[in-house]
Amino acid sequence: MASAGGDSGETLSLNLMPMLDIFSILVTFLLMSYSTDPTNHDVDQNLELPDSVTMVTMDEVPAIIVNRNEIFVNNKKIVTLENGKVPAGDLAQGAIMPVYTALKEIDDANAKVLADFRGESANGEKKAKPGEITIEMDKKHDFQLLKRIMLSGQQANFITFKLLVAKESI
Amino acid sequence: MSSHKKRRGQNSGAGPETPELNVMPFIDVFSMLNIFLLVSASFLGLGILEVQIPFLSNSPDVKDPPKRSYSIRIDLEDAQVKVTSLWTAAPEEKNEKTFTYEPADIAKFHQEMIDLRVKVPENDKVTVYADNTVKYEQLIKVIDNVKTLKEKEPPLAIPGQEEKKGNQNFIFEKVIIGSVIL
Repeated sequence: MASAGGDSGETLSLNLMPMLDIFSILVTFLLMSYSTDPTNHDVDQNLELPDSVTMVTMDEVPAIIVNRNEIFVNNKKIVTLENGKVPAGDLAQGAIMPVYTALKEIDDANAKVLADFRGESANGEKKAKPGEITIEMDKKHDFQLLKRIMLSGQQANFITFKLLVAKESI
Repeated sequence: MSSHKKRRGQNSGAGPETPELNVMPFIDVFSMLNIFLLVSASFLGLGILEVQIPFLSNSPDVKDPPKRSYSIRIDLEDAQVKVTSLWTAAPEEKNEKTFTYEPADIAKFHQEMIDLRVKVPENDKVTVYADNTVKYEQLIKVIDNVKTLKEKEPPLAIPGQEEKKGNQNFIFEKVIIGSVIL
């Protein structure tokens, strides 16, 4: 109390070393866990990803997001789920019609870009290679929903699916 | 400069001087670095599991298909996983094993996958069939154990595996979801 007064003319010096120690440790930890992946993606808050030990890192932002209540294609809401199921009106031959339509647009756009790159017409004889697509899906959904999405993708010329998972080791 | 000299001069008469390092710039730098790293850090590591679905191809048939081929089929039900390995053509050999989703049983399933891969190194493909009611989480758990070696497990002793750089942690690289057929 006495030292806090101004009478003695004494100046208090705060010991900053412990704070510096904490900062050093924190910076070291953050630098060690810092991700240098070029793709950065925020997982939808309304879904929980399944865990996996995979070492393959995400290389493209997911085009199809299936949270607990909705299906999005390229961030555009396509279908509203009813208790985790696709409404009967949106189904056609086991596939989800709005998802197929949205994926077909992507496939057509990809084919056009590829044709322009090759200098061919989009309706040329060469058929584009089947595409890949990344799916981000809530872990509580049934396989039936995934199957319907994959069927929609198959019809739109997508046969390779990258399933987004949360890495267990981190 | 002059004040510094002056202070030094004043102190020199009082006794041995204890030099003090000015830590404020360090704290400033660390604070800024902390804020930047905390804001830009992503604490959830995201990975992918690649699967394929069957598709019709108009490419020409293989001229000389092997007379005897090996296939592995995994059937997923709500409570169990059935693994069937089959040699086609004589001498036919069919093995079936069933596992539950309990962690101990899944570990046995993982070991079975490693054994099957080492037994027939030429085959790097597995076909998965799942019931409609199987949860996505269960499917991922199975695919994970079919595809990926765990971090502490050594690479498989398969000829040619060393040449595949970056792919050494795969057990079966190709997983086909066989149920996705119109």
